[in-house]
Amino acid sequence: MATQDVEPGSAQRLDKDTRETLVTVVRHAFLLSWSFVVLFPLYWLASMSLKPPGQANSLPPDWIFLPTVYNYIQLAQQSDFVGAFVNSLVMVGASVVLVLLIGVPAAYVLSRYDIPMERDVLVWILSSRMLPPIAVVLPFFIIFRELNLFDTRIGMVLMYISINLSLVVWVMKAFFDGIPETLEEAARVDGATQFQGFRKVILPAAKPGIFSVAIISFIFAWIELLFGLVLTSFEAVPVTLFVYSFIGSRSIEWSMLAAASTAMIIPVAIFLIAVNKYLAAGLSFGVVIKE
Amino acid sequence: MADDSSRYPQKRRKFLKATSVGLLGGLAGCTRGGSGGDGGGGNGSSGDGSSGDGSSEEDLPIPLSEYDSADIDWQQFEGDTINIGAVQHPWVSAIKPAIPTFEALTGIDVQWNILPENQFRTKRQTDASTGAGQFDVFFMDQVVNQFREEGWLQPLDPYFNDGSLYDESFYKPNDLFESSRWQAHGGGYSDQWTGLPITVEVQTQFYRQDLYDKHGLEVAETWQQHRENAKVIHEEESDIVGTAGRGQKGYGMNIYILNTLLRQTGSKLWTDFPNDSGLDTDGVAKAAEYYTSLLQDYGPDGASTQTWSDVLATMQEGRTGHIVADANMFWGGLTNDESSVKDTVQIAKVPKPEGGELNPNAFNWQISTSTNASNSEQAFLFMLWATSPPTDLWINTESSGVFSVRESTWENDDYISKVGEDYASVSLESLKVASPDPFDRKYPEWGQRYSEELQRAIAGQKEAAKAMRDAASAAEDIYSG
Repeated sequence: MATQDVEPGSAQRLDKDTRETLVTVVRHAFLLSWSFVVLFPLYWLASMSLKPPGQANSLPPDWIFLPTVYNYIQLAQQSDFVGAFVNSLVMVGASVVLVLLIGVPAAYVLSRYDIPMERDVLVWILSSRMLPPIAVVLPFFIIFRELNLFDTRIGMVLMYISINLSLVVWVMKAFFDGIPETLEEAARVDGATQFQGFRKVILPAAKPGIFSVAIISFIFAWIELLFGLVLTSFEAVPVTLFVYSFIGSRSIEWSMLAAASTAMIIPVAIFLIAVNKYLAAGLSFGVVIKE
Repeated sequence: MADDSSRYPQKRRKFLKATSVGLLGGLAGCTRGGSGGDGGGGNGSSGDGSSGDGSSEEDLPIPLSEYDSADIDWQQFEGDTINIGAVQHPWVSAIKPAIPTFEALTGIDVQWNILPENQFRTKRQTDASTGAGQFDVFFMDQVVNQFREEGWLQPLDPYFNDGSLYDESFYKPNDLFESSRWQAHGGGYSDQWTGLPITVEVQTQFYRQDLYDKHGLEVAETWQQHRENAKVIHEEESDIVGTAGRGQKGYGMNIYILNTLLRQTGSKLWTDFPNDSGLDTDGVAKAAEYYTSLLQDYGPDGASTQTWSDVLATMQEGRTGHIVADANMFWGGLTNDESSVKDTVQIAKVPKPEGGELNPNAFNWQISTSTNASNSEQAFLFMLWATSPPTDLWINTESSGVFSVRESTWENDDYISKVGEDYASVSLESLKVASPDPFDRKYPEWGQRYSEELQRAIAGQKEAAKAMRDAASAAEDIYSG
């Protein structure tokens, strides 16, 4: 019987290309599985919204079905939904712009200047988030009524700002801390003022951070429910409350609930796609190596 | 670099422009009635979205002539608006299409603020406790006496005594079930109307005729028969339990059933209010032992966590032989197309002890007005209209209601043919003798503790008698503390 010359141990070792291919396959398989885990709830929500009422939560579930936009048409025909959706877009959008206009310069000042009791100031800013919302909602209700802010959009904008301001200040301060001061010094050498240095050099460099806190602030305000419930009644009702209205005492309108929830995801998705290129850098803020 | 620097100003201008637009848009709604229209969340719309304005009489769901006989000045608040705080409840769906009639009759516009039950309770509590008075009319339930004693509820008797707002011969208050009137008087704790009842749910028994026929069972008239029937089905059938019932804690959950049992054994809650809760009496212990052992022996796994909706689902899916539950809450769900027992489910009166009385528990939602409401008279007109004989009949015959608080509606032929003779007759007989829970001012607090003790007993963590003794201590401590 002929024997082959086999290098010792070669049966156990794979060549480099095969190993890399294997690693890639395993990695992709893992990522695919993970994507499935992450995306399945979204798929489930969207698929429920495309099923006719009565079929949305049938057991066993109908995996194959004829999609219908019936629920979305029903939703669009409800002026209450459109009104609430517009309310939320306007209130949340305005609050994000304002919270950035207030929070980003504040964070810059806290990062670059020697502020007396800086740590105390920072903790004081953060303290607005230390109490559970339910503990402060009643005082807010009374204050809003006294100031005629109850059930107004401007009141809700202020509320959202108060929710997100500490987040913006803390995150952006850390971000500015990570941007080398030498960049501003170079601008100043070229004749720029401190404000010009901030506007023309630091802000562009901080874009990833700004967009990151913008999207997080947007999401926090967009999904907020408790303050919307207590501080509005008719005119400034946010869309989250409308979505809740499909949960009745005796039944839940699953397909409409799914359609409204899916519709709620759309603005967040658009915002995310629009600022996507900045996000990866923004989410790794603070890792910039200081010279 | 030169390209970049020339691009920045453009980008900055775009950013500033977008910012300005956003800010302007955001601030556009700084006053009420901003461009957002009529709000949302099931809120703000007037009636079903149509206004009474411009509706000709022929278009109205209920003809105005139905209200001609009332010696009431319907138009005295023409041009006003009332705000209604409501639970997302079938009554709201049933009455909303009729709102144009109210608006045409009175000239009052109706604004709704409709929320899921828990969210509504949060909002109602905030509104009442701060004296905001944003709702002229709102849903009221087990907290009626808490609200009344805090001075948040406005008694309706002054309005009943106002000749321009009320006409007894039109309203026929005695047509309302006695138990509904009693509950609208704070469950006996108030000598004045605290609100007007809009819906009533009464306990009945539902059973599967096919299983009863198969095993030669008779519909239970006594609790002993009820247990024996459960035993037979539980032992003879695979995958079907003998019975199902509310085991979950909560002052509207498991004790809602147990309270019926204990009253039937001659016991009562608060034998000496507020000193002796009566929960540690033999009758209560016996009732608790019966209920806990029934669920433990013949109920589904995890019976102590079953809510009313779990019980409904268990029956709907054909996984139990019988249940005791609220008639109008369950009948629709058990007989619709999604129910697997729609062709076989039957309704009967709640069992009673050997030689005991039939006095099933019942629950009324009512609508009330707060002390701080700015349109209480207008609110009263709405409440009166919404619960008046013509409106009640329309809601329950022409619209989707099956929960009338008026005896005349239950006897109406159109209503009987809509809901079925069995359902109508069993419900009516039960409603006539119903004995609702009295919701004293701390009922939500001690009722919660009482229900937690019962849940422990159902879960087998405590002897039923011990659980009831502990519940008694908890209830009495709440009042003495």
